[in-house]
Amino acid sequence: MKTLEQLSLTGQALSHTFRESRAGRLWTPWLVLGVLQGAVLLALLGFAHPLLAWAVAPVVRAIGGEPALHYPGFYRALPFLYSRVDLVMGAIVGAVATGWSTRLFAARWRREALTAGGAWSEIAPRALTLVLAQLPFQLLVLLFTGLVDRALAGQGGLVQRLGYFATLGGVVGMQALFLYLPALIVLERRGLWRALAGLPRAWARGFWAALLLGLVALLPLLPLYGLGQRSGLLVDRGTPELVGWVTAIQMLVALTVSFLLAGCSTLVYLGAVADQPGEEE
Amino acid sequence: MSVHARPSARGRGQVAALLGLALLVSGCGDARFWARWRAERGAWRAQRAVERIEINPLLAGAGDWARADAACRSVVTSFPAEAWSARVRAGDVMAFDVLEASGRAALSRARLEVLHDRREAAVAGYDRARRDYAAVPTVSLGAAVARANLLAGWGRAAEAEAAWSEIARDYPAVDPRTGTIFEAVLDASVLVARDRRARGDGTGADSVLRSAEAACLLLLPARRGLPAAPGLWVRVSEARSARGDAAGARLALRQALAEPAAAPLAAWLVLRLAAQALESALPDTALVYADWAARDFGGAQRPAALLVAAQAWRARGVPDSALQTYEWIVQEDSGDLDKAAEARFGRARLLEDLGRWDQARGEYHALVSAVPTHPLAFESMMRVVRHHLGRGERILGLTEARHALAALDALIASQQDDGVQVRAGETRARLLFETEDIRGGCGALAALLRRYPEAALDAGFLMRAGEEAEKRLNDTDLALELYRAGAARAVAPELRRQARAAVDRMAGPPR
Repeated sequence: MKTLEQLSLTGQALSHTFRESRAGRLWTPWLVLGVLQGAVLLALLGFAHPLLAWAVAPVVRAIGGEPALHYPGFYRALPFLYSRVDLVMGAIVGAVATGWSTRLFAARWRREALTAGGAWSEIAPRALTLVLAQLPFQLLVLLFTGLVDRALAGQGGLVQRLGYFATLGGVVGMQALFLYLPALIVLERRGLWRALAGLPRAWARGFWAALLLGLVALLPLLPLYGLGQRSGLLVDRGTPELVGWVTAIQMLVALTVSFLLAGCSTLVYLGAVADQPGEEE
Repeated sequence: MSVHARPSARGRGQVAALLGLALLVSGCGDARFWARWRAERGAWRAQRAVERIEINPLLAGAGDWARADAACRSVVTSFPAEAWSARVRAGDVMAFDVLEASGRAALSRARLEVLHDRREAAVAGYDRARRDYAAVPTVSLGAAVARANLLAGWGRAAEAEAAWSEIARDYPAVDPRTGTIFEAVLDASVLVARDRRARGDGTGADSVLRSAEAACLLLLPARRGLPAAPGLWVRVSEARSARGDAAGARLALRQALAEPAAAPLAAWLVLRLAAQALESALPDTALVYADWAARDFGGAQRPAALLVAAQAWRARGVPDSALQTYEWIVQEDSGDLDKAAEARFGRARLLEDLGRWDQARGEYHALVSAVPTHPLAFESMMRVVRHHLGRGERILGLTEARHALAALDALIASQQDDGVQVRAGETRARLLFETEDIRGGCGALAALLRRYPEAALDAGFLMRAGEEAEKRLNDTDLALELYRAGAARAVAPELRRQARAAVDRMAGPPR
């Protein structure tokens, strides 16, 4: 499929996914992930409470250091704390939720009658494959952002800004490379190695669509990430608790973006990447 | 699930017991984290509430005051100093943080009393915090310093001196927990010495300064190469300088300069060396250091360095070089208005001393035009008028005074800044006195005092105005008003005594 056709298909996929976002069933995987993420955020926010301190305080200290255990230093560290915990949760629960959502969206686009429970029972045996297949992406993102951060340490002004955009570009690019993996595992019922081997075909047929989707998904997250990075300013201005709310809103927006990304990528996959009847791999 | 598979009541009890044991072992129920979190949160909120009032206490409503007071009180009562000090003594590390937060709230509460202008309550609050939180040196010392500053600010010099003496005597110079140097403890000795010298107790002052110097020298060996070392040498230098040991003071500054961590202070140290050499009548040495400071440390330091160089040239008896150096400062236009004003004023003074009055007057006028709100511009106006009147050139003097008064009136009408209004108003009153308009001068001062009751006016000038009002105008009320203002502002003990005596004399016996 030509680049222009891919981009046009992306626009249609976005429009269709938006229209289907009223279907509650499609939200089930993200609701489950959201409840877990909410519980984790609440646990972090209440880390000092005697019921939680024994378990959560060591985690806070390990990630944020001693200042994160104090008020209001904790709120300065909260976006970083949550992002680190969420990274682990995204790699495990998030990967499974993406597969589950892909199956539900595929049923929707194919006009199949499939309940959330039915989709779960289909993808549950592939949960480990989904987690392991997404792991290289998570590790690459972690490695890439870590390397850029280290390279930019001590730099300022324009270099810092360019580095920030380079990080975003790199993450979007990597996401585009791995975007169709859940569909390959869930819809083509491939194992780990066969799914990874199927990626070059997916790139050839839908890379530009994946890249555009990644860019569109990034837009609503940018201002919230910017706000999260200025948590120190929110604390200094006298409203530390606001950082908690910003993190919660960031979490909800990220969930919505993940929902849209799963719906769109499934539709693009079905329309451009998957073998059409009569085609062979 | 079959009936047999369900856990029995005994089984459930065992599971609960095991869970409880696991939680107990892992520390569940340890409320120290929670206590620390609540104390820190409460102290932080209390501090913010007080800071909000501090922006402008006049705009704060009754609700703001009540909320701030309640926030402070809540922390202090929820985490009482006595109970948490006992825990600190028992070795509980987290209790120290709780006690520190509680102490911060106590300090905020005392600060609230200051903002309320309830002086005795504020002093008592700081005194209480100083005693109650003795286990937390930062809080206790903070309270002691705030109390001493309050007493000094309110003119209770003897009590302030006693407070500074206590600080120098009772607190360690170094935080035993963190190793940080307590600057306030080292400053306290210098302040005590200054007060003793002002009282005429030079021997006592020198003794205090010697102990301050010894304390710094004691701390230095362990801090060689560390960021604190240059600062300690500067304190040694200040103590020696205050004792009149100029050579020792310069030696200490050179030691500071030799420290590896001196780079951020280097420009200031070289400039200070130049200034001290000048004060010690060593203009050649001053010139060398000033040249170094002007040449090697970038633009910011240059005008100040050139100013010292100009003074050194003058002290060496080379006025042409001094005039040229002043000229460079003005022409280089570094953006430092203070230094440019000082250069113009210094050049004018030198020209005046050289007998080149026409050029000097031109410089004074140029200064008034260039920076009309600068204190030296007001001083320039006075010097021009005084020069002519002093030489018997009354018409020229009165003409200059008329121009200056018109310029001051325009400034008072156009400037909103209170500081400028006060300085311009005081200069206006002085000019009226110079031109023998005693009623106008006294009236201008009285009007200024009514508009700015807390204005920092010259106590000696107020006393002179009071005498003129009493003796030449026979206006008792006006004289009493001016004497009272003088008494409230006099710092020197003799002037204060005279002012109080004048007030007592004018007010008459109590009815």
